[in-house]
Parts: sequence; structure tokens; C-alpha cells
Amino acid sequence: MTSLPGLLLGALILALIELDETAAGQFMISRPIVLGPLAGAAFGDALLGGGLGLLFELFSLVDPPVGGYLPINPSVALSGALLFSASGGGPTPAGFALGLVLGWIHGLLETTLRRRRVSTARRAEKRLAAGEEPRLMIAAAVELARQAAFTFFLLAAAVLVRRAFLQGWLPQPWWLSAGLRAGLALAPWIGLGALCRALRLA
Amino acid sequence: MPRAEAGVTRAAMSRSTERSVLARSLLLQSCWNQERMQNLGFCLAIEPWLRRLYSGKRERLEALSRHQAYFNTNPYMAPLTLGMVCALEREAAGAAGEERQARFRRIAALKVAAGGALAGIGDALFWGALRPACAAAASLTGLVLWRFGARAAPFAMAAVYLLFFNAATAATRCRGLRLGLEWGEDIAARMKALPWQGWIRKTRRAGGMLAGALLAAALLWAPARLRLEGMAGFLAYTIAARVTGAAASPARFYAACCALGGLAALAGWWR
Repeated sequence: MTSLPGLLLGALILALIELDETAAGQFMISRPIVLGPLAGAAFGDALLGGGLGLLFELFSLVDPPVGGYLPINPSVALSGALLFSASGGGPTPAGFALGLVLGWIHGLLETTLRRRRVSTARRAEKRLAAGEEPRLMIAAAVELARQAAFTFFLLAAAVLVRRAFLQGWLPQPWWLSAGLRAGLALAPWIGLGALCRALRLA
Repeated sequence: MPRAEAGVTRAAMSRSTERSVLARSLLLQSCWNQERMQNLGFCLAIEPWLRRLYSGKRERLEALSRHQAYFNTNPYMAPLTLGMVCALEREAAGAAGEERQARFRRIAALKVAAGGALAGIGDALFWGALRPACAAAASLTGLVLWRFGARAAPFAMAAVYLLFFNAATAATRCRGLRLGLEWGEDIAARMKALPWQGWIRKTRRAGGMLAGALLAAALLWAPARLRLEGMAGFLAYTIAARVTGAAASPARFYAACCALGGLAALAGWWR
């Protein structure tokens, strides 16, 4: 699953699974700690997937998506990191950082999408006022498809960054690599701190 | 016992309607919007019941219009509110004239109040206690199995998380709809009688013990060089979080560590 079409297919599947994060079901299949090992195995490295999944899971514990607040999306972060790093891709420290950036962008885009959905709600209200069926199931399906589509484009960007990195088109300053390695070395301990904070131990 | 009255049927909720309402409640957040939050999701979920309750199109669409108002709750607690509203809608459908209008107004007020109160409980229990506790249990399982060379360690970690979290939430969802239907307007008094705070405290305590064991295992099994760095990172993040509160998110702290690492590399202290 590491050829370009394979990675894009993986991005599509991961984008559909991401809907479980906040939009539909919330059975926790999209949580990094669950998705990591499964997606990692699909890309040929379950241990890398498990490790990255564990880190993103711990990072996301103190910031639940409650009310209208959307933090860094951990599912997108993990998917982006795996699409970049898995099976001979870019280095894991860079993948972890890229994942966090993609998760943050996804939060911003989803906030915009939620703002746009006000018009969907008003449309349903107008139809009801006119004595027509509000077509709620169609509205839900359209909104889910829209969200899956923009998640896919975001994850496809991770695949393109991977290609650019492997082709040597991206500059790799040594000091940046060193900084990202330092960050990743400390990430498990920061994650443990976040876990203790989420449980109000620290 | 169906009672035909100007396009209104007073019916009991059948198993198939119950399943349909429950299945549609899984899409509660699919149309989440900034203005009225889960209003469309709520309408989507309650639609099968309104279809059964009101045989006439006009009455059904009017009922759906009433549920277009603001609504927001925790997704795992939503079936409780849905059940309550279904029970109240059934009673209101059986009433007539001014009494019926008064019941509709009461449903609107109770729906928002119950949604808000249940969101508080659900967020604290499922997001604030159960999720970190499940993460701690899953991480500890994965770490221990990985330490002893089990190849299935990542999958065991995923299975533990899914099993623990979904056992609790599936039970709440499935029982929630029935309890809401059974309790109706008494939901506030019945919910008050349940030891929610005790459950939250116990879940957090269990999660705390697992997190302590996880931290001890990580320190014990980490390479000696990483042990000191790791403990320093853990303490630095914990102190920063205490001092700055919500501003010290793990991602921001990680970004600061990356920046410091890069600067240290430029200064020649780190390679």
C-alpha cells in the first residue's frame, strides 16, 4: 500500500474513518490509539503506527472537542504522520510534526464547515415552513461527504509532501532535523504529563 | 393502543422505531452548526417516532419545526434526552387545544434543560474520566506486552481501548433511550438519584492508578540516558501546565521543545 495510488486509497479510507471522530458514531475507531496499529499494519509497520497512535492519543487527552471547540484533530494528525512516514517514507520526527500541523489545519477547516452548515439548517427550516419535507437524511449525507472530502484533500497533501521529500525537493536543514528529533524524544514524556493532567493527578 | 384523532396516532414505541431512533442518533453531530448546534441531528433522530406518532404530514412537519430550535448535549447522553422527548411528545399528541400547546412549550424548555445538564455529566464522565482511563489501561497493556516481546502488543492496545470505552458508552446509549422513554418528565429527579459524581471519581481514581503504573513502567524500562531527559520533560510540562493552565497544550510544549532543540543544535550543544 506504499505506491502513490495505494497511499491515496489509504488517505481516502482514513478520511472516511475520521468521520467517527466527531461527526458520526463516535465509536472511537478513529482514535489514534486504535487507528494507529490498524493503519500502521495496512502500511506495513504496525509498531510505528502503534507508537505514533499512542503519542497522538496522549497529546489529545487534555483537549476534548466539547461544545463548539475543535482542538487539533488527533485522527487526522495520526493519518498524516503515517502517510508521510510509513514504509520507507520521510523521517518519523518530521512526520509527527507534519501530523500535528495537519490536525491543526483540520480543526480550522472544520470550524469553517460548521459555520457554513448554518445555511443547511436554515434551508431545512425554510422547507418545513413551506410545508415540504426537510430531507434531513440527504442533508446529513451531504455534510458527511463534504467533511470526508476535505479531510481526504488534507491527507493527500501529506502524500504529496512525502513524495516531495523523497525526491529531495524539500530542503532539510540539519538544525531543523535535530530540533524535531529532540521534540519527538520528549513527546512520550509530555504525553504522560498530559495523561496525568487529564486525570487531574498533576 | 392507537387512537386516531385528527391525524394523530397515540402509539407505543415499537422495537423497529426504537432501533431506528437509536441508529439515527449516531448521526446527531453530522450537521453540527455554529448557530443551533445539534438541532438538525436531533430532528433526524426523532423523525421516525414523529412519523409514527403523527400520521398526517402537516402535524409531523409542525412537530419537526418545533425541534428546529437550539439543542446541544453529549453524544452518549443524547438517547436519554431523545427518550424523554419521545415520551413527552406522545403525551402532548394525546392532548388537545390549549393544553397541547402548553405541553409543546414545556417539551421545548425541558429538552434544552435536560440536554445541558446531561452534557455536563456526560462530558465529565466520558471525556474527562473514561477516555483518559481507557488510554492509560490501553497504553499500559501495550507497553507491558511490547516489553515482553509480544508482536500483537499494538493490536492488544487498540482492543483494550475499544472494549472498555465502547462497553460503557454502548450500554449508556442503548439503556438511555429506554430509560428516557420510561422516565419522561421525571428524568431530572431520576438522574439526580444516580451516583454520577461517585462514578466519575472512581473512574478517575482507576485511571490515576493505571497512569501511575504506566509512568513507573516507562521510567523503569527506558534506556538510562533517556530516563533523565524524560523525567525532566515530564516535570517541565507538568509545571508549565500548572503555571499557565490551558495555554500549555502538549502540542505547544512539544513545539517549544523542537525550537529549543534546534537552537541547541545551532549552538553546538545537541546533534
